[in-house]
Amino acid sequence: MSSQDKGAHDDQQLTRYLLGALPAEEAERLDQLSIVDEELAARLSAVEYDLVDAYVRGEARGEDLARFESFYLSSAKRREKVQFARALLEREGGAATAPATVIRTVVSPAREPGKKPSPRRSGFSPSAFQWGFAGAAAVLMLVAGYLLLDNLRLHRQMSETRARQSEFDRRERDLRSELDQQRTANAQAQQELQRLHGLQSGLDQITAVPLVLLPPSRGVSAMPTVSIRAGTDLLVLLLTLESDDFPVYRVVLRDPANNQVLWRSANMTSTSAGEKKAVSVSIRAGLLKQQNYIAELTGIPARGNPELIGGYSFRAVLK
Amino acid sequence: MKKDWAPTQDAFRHFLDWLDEGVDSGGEKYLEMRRRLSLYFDRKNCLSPDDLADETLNRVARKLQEQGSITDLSPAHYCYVLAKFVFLEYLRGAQPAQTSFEEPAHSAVQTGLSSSPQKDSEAQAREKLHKCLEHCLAQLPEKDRELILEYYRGEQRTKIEGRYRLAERLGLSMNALSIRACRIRDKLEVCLIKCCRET
Repeated sequence: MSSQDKGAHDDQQLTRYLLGALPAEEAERLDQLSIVDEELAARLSAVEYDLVDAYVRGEARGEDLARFESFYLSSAKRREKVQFARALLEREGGAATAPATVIRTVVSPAREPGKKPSPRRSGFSPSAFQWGFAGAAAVLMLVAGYLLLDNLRLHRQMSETRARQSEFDRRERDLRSELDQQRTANAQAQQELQRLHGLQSGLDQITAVPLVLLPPSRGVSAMPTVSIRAGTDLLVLLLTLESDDFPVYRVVLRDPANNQVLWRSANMTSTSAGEKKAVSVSIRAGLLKQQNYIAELTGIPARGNPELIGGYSFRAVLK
Repeated sequence: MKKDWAPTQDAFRHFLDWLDEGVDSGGEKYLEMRRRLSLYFDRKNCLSPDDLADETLNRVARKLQEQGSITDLSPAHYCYVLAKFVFLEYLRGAQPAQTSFEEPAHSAVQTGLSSSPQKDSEAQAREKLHKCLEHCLAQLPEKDRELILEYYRGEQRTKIEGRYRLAERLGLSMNALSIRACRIRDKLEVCLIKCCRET
């Protein structure tokens, strides 16, 4: 690889490659180099670890974040990397508090000797009584040191337990709210289906299968799967929105394996899905194979450039 | 390597030598090529990247045995060419018999974290992951352990500054340091997956 080539593959480009955001031709070139070129393979690995770490630390933003959640997290292997990075980060958090404990433990006894009665202050010459007193003081200090250490350990355990408990509470709240949203959105999907069926009498013959997709989230959750039976005409995707910020939306269906666009929607407006808003699109079932897909949602502002909102990953299973 | 067609011991030795290109790596080149191929298939969102990597290496070994030698392309390049064929077959759904595409890739860490909710709560699974992490860190030589913990410590600017200091202290270029850290992290990940699967 020439030095010119090396320069061309900066970290930004490698990041876009890992997020499936490069044009097919460029991606193929990097596919090849990732196997053939030892240096690039190593660089790519380093960039990937940093990318995953940035995600678990909450440093990923904008399109990178959207792509990470829609593309990167669509693979079980890569989700494993994220779990691993999270464990490493959590460990780092624990380790960061450890030195403080050690310092306090060491410093506390060091302040004590100043309070010891000195031979001059006591007015007594060194005697067996004094040595006995000093011995008892030393034992007391050891016991106090032990109790202090034990106390610190218990405090740390309590803080950890509290942190875990609050994490469980938060997760429970999130799951409950996710479940509520799912229920509301399911009802909305049914209504949407009924509306579609009511459009013309011929549509009564159409069989459709709905799939409600929640906004891509930071958590690592299982990929939604839709089963498409033989004879199904339409897949109705209901892409729920975090916030309804655009007058018009567009949806593109991509094959994450090669980033190829398989289908594009016309301009759509959002509809209500319970308390939330959603964008509903109907895709011909015949277009789908048994594989993973990404429905990329783009917001079209009244003025300015379209903005990628996020990618909704799902898996189609043909029955 | 996968079944169906299995190379003889001599053929496999010949295959390893060919991958080594004259410098005996003790099987390291083979493992590294398998890792790169698996990552390639994973980036293509294939469901069983490890199986496809094995399938590719199997085909390369078979070609080598059939032809005696392959000289028109470097070993890595030849592996890439065959990997592309394997990927195209995967896309067409003409998957090789021994490769199962119906089942999603097994994720040991995920299994550890989220499967069998009755038996294994998420908190327990997380604890298991942390225990495995400690176990795997303890398996590393002390220098490697210190390097990886320091290399990945901190956020953004702090992290970058820390890396510069670490590189200076170890007398390494930033590039060499990042490669070393990656290799250690790769090892750690392999150990972690194994540990989560076994415990």
